[in-house]
Parts: sequence; structure tokens; C-alpha cells
Amino acid sequence: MQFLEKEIQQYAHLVCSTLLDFEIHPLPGTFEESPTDTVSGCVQITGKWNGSIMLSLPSALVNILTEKMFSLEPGKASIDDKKDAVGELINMIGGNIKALLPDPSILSVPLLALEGHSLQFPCTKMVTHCQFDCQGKPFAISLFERTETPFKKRLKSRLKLPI
Amino acid sequence: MENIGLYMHSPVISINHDATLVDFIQKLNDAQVDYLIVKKQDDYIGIVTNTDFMRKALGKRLNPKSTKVSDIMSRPLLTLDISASKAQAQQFFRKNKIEHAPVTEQNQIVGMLLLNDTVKKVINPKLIDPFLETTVLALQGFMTEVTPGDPIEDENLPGEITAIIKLSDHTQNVEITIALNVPEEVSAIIYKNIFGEDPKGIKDICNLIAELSNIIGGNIKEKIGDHHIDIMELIYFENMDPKEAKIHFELDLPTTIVGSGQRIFGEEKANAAKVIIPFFGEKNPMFFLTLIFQEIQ
Repeated sequence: MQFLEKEIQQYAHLVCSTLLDFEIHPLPGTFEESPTDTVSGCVQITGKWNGSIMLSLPSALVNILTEKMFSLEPGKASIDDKKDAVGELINMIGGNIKALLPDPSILSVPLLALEGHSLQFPCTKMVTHCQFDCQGKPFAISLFERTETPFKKRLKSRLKLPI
Repeated sequence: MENIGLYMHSPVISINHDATLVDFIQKLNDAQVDYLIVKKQDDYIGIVTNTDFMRKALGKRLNPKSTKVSDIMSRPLLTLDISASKAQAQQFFRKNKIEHAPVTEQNQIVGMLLLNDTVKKVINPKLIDPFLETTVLALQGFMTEVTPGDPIEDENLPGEITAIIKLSDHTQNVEITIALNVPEEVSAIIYKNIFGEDPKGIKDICNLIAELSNIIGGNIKEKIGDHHIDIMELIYFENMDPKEAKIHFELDLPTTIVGSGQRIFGEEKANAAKVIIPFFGEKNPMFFLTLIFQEIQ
């Protein structure tokens, strides 16, 4: 079992069912990001526990979720609507996960990467990856925890200034 | 105290209430603005912005040839008195969740104020200098010499890698976002300067630029202690008591965004103060440093 895997699954289910009235189901395996078709949002948690939570969704699912969230007709979701929807979802999921982590901790505002862009978390390692099915489409929530990466150690040995 | 009369636009550009959306777009383009005040005879009765057009007309697929501006205008027309201060105007915009307001003097509309007019604050160069110095030093540590240029307006930055790190104080609700936008090719040069070899992939490059932002953020945190009042006044538009202006910044983790045609989404509010500074190598801009000072909630 991965770190907080069960809790993340429960919270994702809770958020999707209460906010969107959608049922979701855990899927085995890893969500495959498409360079041109994935929308990602993340929030950071800083404090006693430090890391990031990322939500990754295919564009088609973003459209469905946005239309449902804002009661829009199919095809009517604007980019701003989509940004708002993904931001709201990751914010809610992040808020729930934060409550499970040691206090004091702070949740950041969401950062989003739309199609053609991807988010990376360089000073971290992925500790949890949960894939789900929603409306026949996969999406994922991943947790990245701050760590001293091998790259940082290598960099430290090369630099003139301390880091 | 300065009032908003100094910042307003005049004369007010208006359109007749029974004009069509085709007329609206034409006038918008001719006047190079993103709003028009709607007039019925001698009265101003509403406002139509570009956003209204996008959401209410395009979003609902209304026919622009037959739809009147009065069908999509926002009303009532919320106005600001010319005696209001910038801070009061800011609060007004924030409270009413609008970005455009006519300015009145003795109950007559005399101009137009936009949210951006109230937040286009000139960031004091003495506040930017520590960021520039820290960036130059960090790059020297990365065995790369750079020189800062003059701030630029164009927000479409050419780099494929953007590392974002934030300094935040959740008690004072203030945040400084530091974003480094670096072309992949430049990142590879810096990488080679340090390691003597090419990066093995995008992950190496992201790691490098993220660590660079981390170093800049960490060092600037120590350097900006003398500028807390400037930062608070910049963000809150108010004269601050030095005791109340004390900030304790925490440094977040860096995140990188990979992809061309970069803009940072979810980072910048309408009332943020922002500056983009290019850094030059021997000749061409090597990368861009974006600083965003803003309130967080």
C-alpha cells in the first residue's frame, strides 16, 4: 500500500460524488500523460510535511467535469472555466489530504498546466500515484514528497556556492 | 492624497443601446479598448466588456448581427466618485468583482477607471535590485555570467522551461512568486558549464533550473528583510506601520512547467504587481525573471 493511498482514494471519491455527482473507481496501473492532451493542476503543502499533490486529467474529462461543475451545455466550457474547475478540484483534494498530514502545514494556491505543458516536481520523489476511472476516462492523483535528490547531491559537489 | 482622477481615461467611449454586437466589436477594435459604456439617449445605462461578449454572446451563440448590446450589457452601472483614492477604488473593484467603472464628478460621468489602472504600480527599483543581484550571483555560482536588462512588457516568454518558487507569509497573506523562464537550449549550456557534459534529458534540465530558482529564493529570503514595508505597501496600497509590516517569509518548493508558449496559470491575480526582467549573456536574452507580488487568501 502506498502512502495515504486508501485515504486519497476515499477523498477523491468524496469530492467527485459531492461536488460533481460522479462515481469514480480506482484503476490499476499508471496514468499515461499525453504531451498534448493532458491538463494538470497542483497544490503544495508546506510545514511539517513538504510536498506537492498533482491532479492529471485528459482534456475530454476536463470538459465533462467543467460542464458538470458549472452547469454548462456540452462544448460551452471556456479556458477560464476549465482552469477554474481543475483549480477547484485540486484545491479540494489538496485540502482534504492536508488534513491528514501533521500540523502546522499550509496549502498553496493551485498552479495549472494546460494542454501542451506538463508539471514537474524536481526536489521531490513520488510517494503515491492513484489512477481512477471517471465517466469511462482515466485520471490520476499523485503525491510528491520533498527529498534530497541525487541531482542535488551531484550539483552540490560541482558548485562554487553552497546550496 | 492622490485621487483616481489622475489615473482615469477620458473621454468615455460609449455605444448606443440598440447597436448590434457587430457594431460593438467594430467600435471596440476602432477604439482599442475592451469595454464600452451603453447609452440610451442622454443616460448611461450599462456597460459591455469583452468578457461579457465572450461569455454572454459567444458562449450562448447569439447572432451578433441581430443581438443588441443592451441584451448582453451589465447593469446597474456601478460608478466611482472622482474623490476616491486608489486604495478605495481597489476595494470597490474587489467588493463588486468588476474591473471597469465610470468615474463621476458632481454626478456626471467624466471618465473611466479600470482595475489595472489602480494596480499598475511602479515597483520601486530598490525592491527589485536585491532580486537582480541575487540572480546574477546565483548564475555566477552556476558558472554563467549574466546581466539584467530593462523590464519588458511582453508576457509571451520564449523559454520551454519555467521554474516557479514562492516566498509566502500566510499570516500577512502576502506572496512573492519568482519564475525563471529559460529556453531549453540555454539550460543545456548552463548545465554543460557546470557538469562538463550535455544533459541527459528534460529531467536534468528541470532539476537544474528548479535548483537555480531554489537558490535565488533562499538567498533573496535573507536579503529582503529591509524591504518589508515596501512589499506590504506595494501589495496593500496603504501606508504601513513598520511594526505591522513585519513579514516572515517561508520558501516553498520549486515546481517546473515544461512546454512552449508559457504563461503561468493560477499564479497571478488582477491586483498583482508584476515585473519581467530579461537577463543577457554576451548578447541575446538568456532567460527571463518574473516577479509577482500579491495578496493571498
